[in-house]
Amino acid sequence: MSDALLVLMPFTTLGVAVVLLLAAALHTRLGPEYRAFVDRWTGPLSVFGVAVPFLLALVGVFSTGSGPRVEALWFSVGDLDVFFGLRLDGLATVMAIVVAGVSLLVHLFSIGYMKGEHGYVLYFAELSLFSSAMLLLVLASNFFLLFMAWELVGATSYLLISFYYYRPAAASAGKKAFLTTRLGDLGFLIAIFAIFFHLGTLRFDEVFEAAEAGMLGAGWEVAVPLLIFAGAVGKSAQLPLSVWLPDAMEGPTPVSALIHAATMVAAGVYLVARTFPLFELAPAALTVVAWVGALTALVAATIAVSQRDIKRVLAYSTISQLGFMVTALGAGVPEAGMFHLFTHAWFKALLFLGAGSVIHASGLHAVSIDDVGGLVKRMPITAWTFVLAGLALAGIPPFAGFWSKEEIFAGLLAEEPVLLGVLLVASFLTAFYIFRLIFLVFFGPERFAHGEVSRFHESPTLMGIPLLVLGVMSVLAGFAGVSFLGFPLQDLMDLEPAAEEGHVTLWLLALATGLGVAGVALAWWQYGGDRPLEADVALRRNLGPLYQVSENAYYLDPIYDRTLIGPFLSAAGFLAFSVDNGLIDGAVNGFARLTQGLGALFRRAQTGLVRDYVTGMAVGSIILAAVLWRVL
Amino acid sequence: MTLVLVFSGLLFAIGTYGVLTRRNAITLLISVEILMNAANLNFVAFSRLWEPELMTGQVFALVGISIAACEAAVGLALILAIFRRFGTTDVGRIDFLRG
Amino acid sequence: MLDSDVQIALFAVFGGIAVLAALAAVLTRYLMRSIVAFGAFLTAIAGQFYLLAADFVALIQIFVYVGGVVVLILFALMLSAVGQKHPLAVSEHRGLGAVVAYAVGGWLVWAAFGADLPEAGEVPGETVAFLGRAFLDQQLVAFEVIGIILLAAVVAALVIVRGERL
Repeated sequence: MSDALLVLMPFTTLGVAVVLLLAAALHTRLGPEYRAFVDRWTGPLSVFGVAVPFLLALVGVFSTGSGPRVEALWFSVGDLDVFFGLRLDGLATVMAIVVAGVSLLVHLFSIGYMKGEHGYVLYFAELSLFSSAMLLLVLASNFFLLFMAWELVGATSYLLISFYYYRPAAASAGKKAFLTTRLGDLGFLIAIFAIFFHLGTLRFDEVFEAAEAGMLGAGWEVAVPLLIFAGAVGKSAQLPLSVWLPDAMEGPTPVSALIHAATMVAAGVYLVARTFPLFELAPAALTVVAWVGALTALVAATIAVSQRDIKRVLAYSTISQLGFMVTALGAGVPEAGMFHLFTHAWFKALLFLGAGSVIHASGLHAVSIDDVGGLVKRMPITAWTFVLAGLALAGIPPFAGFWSKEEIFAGLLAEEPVLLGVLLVASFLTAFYIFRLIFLVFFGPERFAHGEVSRFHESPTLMGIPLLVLGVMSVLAGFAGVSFLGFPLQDLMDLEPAAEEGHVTLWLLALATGLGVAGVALAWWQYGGDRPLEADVALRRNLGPLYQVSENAYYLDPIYDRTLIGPFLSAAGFLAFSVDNGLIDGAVNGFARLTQGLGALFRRAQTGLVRDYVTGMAVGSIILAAVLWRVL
Repeated sequence: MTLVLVFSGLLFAIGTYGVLTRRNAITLLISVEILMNAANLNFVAFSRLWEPELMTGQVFALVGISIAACEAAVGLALILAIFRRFGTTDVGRIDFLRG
Repeated sequence: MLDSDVQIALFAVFGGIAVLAALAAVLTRYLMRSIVAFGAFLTAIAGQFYLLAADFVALIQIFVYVGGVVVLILFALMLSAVGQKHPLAVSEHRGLGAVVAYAVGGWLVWAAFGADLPEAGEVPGETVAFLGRAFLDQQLVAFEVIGIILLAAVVAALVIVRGERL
């Protein structure tokens, strides 16, 4: 693949996004026939926009060496030379395939899902804009461009979460997502400053080289990776910044599938993997990363078991699975983490699109387990692909999730038995909550709380195809990284593990599989009967306060409200009403009154008579001349 | 040379007095012209003292005369406009700029 | 500067006429007399210019001032139609005016006597030709600026006199 083609990857999508933005802006000004034309071609055009980078990424798999790269001096300020640099190395190739591939399928799905919605063209414009920003993030070969793309991704994510901007919940969810991730981005930005200050360059290769030579200094050597990780924590919704992701489900469901399952939230993981040479230098930072990931995985899994809204279950599941990946990174086996990212993207996107299919058929904005049930006969494709993805998520062999989780477990086995235990528990819970959802929504007696269940039909073909493709990927994606095929995915990424490579032992395989099966069995035992909802109520009663904590997501939101947002708002109120109104406005008004008073005083000098002005001028000239005479 | 400066000084003082004391707009204008002539006299005189071969002073005097003519034209137009509006050319009675 | 005693005497005579005419123009209470005195003053100044080897400036002084400005003022006088019959009022600020005028005049004359002046140089013989070249050469900017100012003055005068009905 030639270097020039590399530029096409983000910029085809960006070009499409620009065209669509213009079309969206002009949409209301167009006549009906032109509007129909725009509506008809919006979908195919945007699909083309992501198909090109997807194909190029596939071609990139076969490139040799360190892959194609493009670099041009963008601008320079003082000592800082900022390059516009793209690079498609193995890691970027894997990520680009995930991003462009999922994006392609989501675009296809959206054509059906968003049909006839208000702002159809704008939706595709924003989706393409997001995809191009995400590709730029993946391909960036220096911190500056990466950060720019990082923020672009955040901004477009904000736009898409708040796509139904007329719903207050959606508008505030977008704000929450943006502001929460900004908190982490602040750390990332400080890390970039520190890197430039100490190393004088922002290019990945040079930064890693210089850092390995010890030029960061003892303190920053630990601080920089931790600050970078802060950015990753925000984007990947790890504790304690995980609160935005469940709320982000207010966006259209395909957006959740693309951004909040497969790509943007994985960007945090990708960032850590990309800057892994910096993390290797700081074992302390790696330990923090591992523990944050493991705790997140466990906490989010325990929350997911009690959520009632389908998408919220999937959101917490995403947080939990991202925790798995982060743990792998922290344990020094980034390949396993990236492998799990790769497999997870497909089956989690499938889960979201399946949920989207149900929501689309229900005609509601959001669907919870109280609303629907037993849909398997009415929506067979959706249901069975959902089950495939669920098996993959639960880690049942031979589905995709099994292989990647197994890699993570194997990586932890040698040195981190505690983390391994935590993840195994989380894995068991994962199997349980996803099959709880499956049994409640797709099996058991048919029910629909808001009308006739007969309104449910299988989604149109255009939405079915992406589900099927993703279903196939949920089965097969795992084979990209299995040992008996020689680890093709890991070879492609070519990351250096910090820890000793673990070996998949038979008892670990058996244990993990057993836990997965046990989770599924428990879910079947609880919810497999004729009255699954009653079983849920009974469980809720029996577990009591534990269930409450889980259902309310550990009260993180109220805690943040009390401890952070509340005091901040009162401080802002004090500044606004006391300081601004009293002190600052008072000073301004005081000056105004002073000016008025002086004006009234000096007004008398203005007689309006030319003679008086001339006299003043003449006297003034004489005085001035006398003064100058003395001075000179 | 001193003689020239003395005369111009005297004329300047006379012009100043006229500007300060007269109330008729036309007389005011005449007084201002006297001031400018006093200045022009100095320019012409100094033209021979500094760089006489360039005659910068004379050039400046010509410029001054041109500007004085402009000023007279605009000033008289103003006087006419004021007269039409207020019915007088007595600047002592025109005080609508009073603060 | 003034090369001979005759020239000095002539200059003093012109100067005396100029001062007297200026005084008359400023002090008289009849506008018409004031204007006539102003004409005389301008002519006397033109004579002084001539004696100072500025024959072209003297000519222009006659053309523009005596022939142009004075006539313009006469027109203004006729159009505003006041002042010929009854004397003009004199300002009550006469005392202050006199003090300021004495101060200015006294200071200028004192400065004239105290000034340390260089020797007068020779002026090119044909001042008209020289000035013509100067205006199109070293003094081109001044020439252009005068042109712009004249244009602006003409437009301004028209606008002011015609009011809003342009």
